[in-house]
Amino acid sequence: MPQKYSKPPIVEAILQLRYGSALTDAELNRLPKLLQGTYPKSKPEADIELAVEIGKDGPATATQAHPNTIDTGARLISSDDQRTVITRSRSILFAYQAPYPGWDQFLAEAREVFDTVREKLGYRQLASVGLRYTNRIDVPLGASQETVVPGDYMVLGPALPNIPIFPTVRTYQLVADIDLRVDQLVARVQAATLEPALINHASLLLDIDIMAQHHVPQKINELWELVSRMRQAKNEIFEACVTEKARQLFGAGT
Amino acid sequence: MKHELSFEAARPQADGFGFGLRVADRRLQDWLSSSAAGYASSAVGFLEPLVFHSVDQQAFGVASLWQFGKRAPKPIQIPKTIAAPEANPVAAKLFDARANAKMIAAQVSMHLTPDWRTKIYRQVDRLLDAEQWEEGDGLLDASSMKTFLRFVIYANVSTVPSLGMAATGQVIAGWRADTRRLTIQFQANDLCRLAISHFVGDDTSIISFSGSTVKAYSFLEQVGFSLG
Repeated sequence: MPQKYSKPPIVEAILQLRYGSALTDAELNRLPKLLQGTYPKSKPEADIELAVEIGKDGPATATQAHPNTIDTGARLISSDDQRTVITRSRSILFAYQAPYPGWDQFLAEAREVFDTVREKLGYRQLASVGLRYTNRIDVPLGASQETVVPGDYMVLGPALPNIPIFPTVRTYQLVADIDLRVDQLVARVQAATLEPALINHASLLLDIDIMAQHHVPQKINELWELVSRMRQAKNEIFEACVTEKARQLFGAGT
Repeated sequence: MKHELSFEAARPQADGFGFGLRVADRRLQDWLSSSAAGYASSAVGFLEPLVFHSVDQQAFGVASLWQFGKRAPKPIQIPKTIAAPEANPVAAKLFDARANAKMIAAQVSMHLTPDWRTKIYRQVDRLLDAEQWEEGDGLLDASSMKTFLRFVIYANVSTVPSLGMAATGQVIAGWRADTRRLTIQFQANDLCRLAISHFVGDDTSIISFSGSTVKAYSFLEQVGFSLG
């Protein structure tokens, strides 16, 4: 299926599966080898955590003198450096960095990873599925360096009272979790101004994270059908959030 | 208690999304990784608390938000992903430097041609090749890489330069045009230093410039050095 936009604003697309039970150390160690053909570069990783308690009266004190390892796994990178797989004891994440190749290729590459894991390590109960697309809209400022009105490009934004003391919005940040009417999905939508990615541009963030946490299908075909519906939900939210002027920047119709 | 962050719910509006959230005293970048995959343990697909720590619960609207998300205040957690202890430290350092450089390139890759991206990635791999790299060599400086990419997109540079790396890790790019050689060292925050010299003939003169990359581009136009 051809892409709708010749220059999609997708900075990163991610599909993550979380499992109901933890992978064993032996299974975690096998994963880089199983995926080595497509992901030849790998590095073992550990997630560490420092907990800091803030007392009512006193200053912050470290509750632990040493970092606590909360999870381990590996980061695998494809030979073209565009795809990343991150393994952890209860999750596997597939990420595709820009330039986005289109849904068909994204899904095919993701399926290759998750199907290999299922085939080689066996069935494991799925607890949740996440599909996240981070979009950045780069708006050229032009020679006059005029102020960019975010609303010209993105419908989603802060709801501010219309009073004279608020002439323009300089920066904003918005995060919302929204219950969707499909498959009990939840969308976490983030919209914000960002530090400009390019010279003489303004950058706007539109991050859409679709999560399935209830009745996650366990059969492989039903799982991929769910992922397709999650993509559909993501697309609907995206299209509802951007304006025609933004679509022109993505190369709509070219 | 010193509050890291305060926020309040905006009043709903009749049209549009009808919600808003205003956050103060903290930039979004502080809690959004530039790359979601940069956060291995918290990238997608689950509803954990955002980083709303140390919130004044007496503030307007906050209590209802906590209730909405069924979230309770808890000690500040600072998750960080590091190389596992069993990893080779030099290899892990180079792996991260290569990955970071390419992540930065990926962020703007929709503005680069596939050929450009491939050639730049290849040169980054060469600069940070574990077999060539020695202790004391620099690690590619991310802010310098960012300045380099922002410059080539701004100047619409079509000729892929040869890349080198200063001891500080800053990117050095070289181009040739007619009898001249241009070398630019890219620094953080869209700053650079450049020199133009001759690589044939008897002319040993060197023209140099130091300043913003935008002004450097104007300077190159003035001296007639085309970047293709």
